[in-house]
Amino acid sequence: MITSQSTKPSETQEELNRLLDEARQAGVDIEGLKHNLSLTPDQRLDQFLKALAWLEWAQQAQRVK
Amino acid sequence: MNPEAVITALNTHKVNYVVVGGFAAVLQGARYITQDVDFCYARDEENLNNLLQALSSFNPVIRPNPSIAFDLSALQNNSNFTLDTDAGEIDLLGYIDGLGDYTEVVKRAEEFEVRGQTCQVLSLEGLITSKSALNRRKDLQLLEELKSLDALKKQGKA
Repeated sequence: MITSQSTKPSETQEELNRLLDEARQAGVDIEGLKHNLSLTPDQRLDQFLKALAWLEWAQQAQRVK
Repeated sequence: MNPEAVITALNTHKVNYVVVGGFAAVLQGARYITQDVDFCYARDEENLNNLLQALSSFNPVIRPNPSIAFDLSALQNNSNFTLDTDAGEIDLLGYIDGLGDYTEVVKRAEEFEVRGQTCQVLSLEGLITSKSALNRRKDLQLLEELKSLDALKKQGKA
């Protein structure tokens, strides 16, 4: 019983680590996601709106070109 | 794009809705950029009227048919709309693939406070289910991010 309780979380942890490694290799910015999880929803919204403003500025610049 | 103004208007008019799609993913922590805000809404008549009142100040126009008025009749006859509004593009969804209608979607939602406004936001697990059901190529990167966010949150709890 004690063995089962102590090994199960580490198995899950291994699975999670594997999933994150695979995602990292597929190009997912895991560090960026970790940072986002540390932010409040308001801070996530601020960050998103800034990124969106840059994207829209770039799209407009492209059209002018 | 002004999602805060839309959420405030929906709350002021007591609309039953859940933030879904890419903007829900952003609030959940994704690094995704979307140019629209998606809402799943309840389709009872009282909610449709509240929704119309909430959105009226943003001058909604139905894309791709601006000649069709966005009114109660339109809402009763169709459940999904893409609207061009003064607050940006809004997608209204009466049904979400993989999840169901509002009554099912709200069960998978989490309460968030954004700019002092309380709103229901589809959970990571709900977002993963809905994006997986759509099976669209354009969602693959977001789906990877959502799964990673879910793993990071579980890792923190494990």
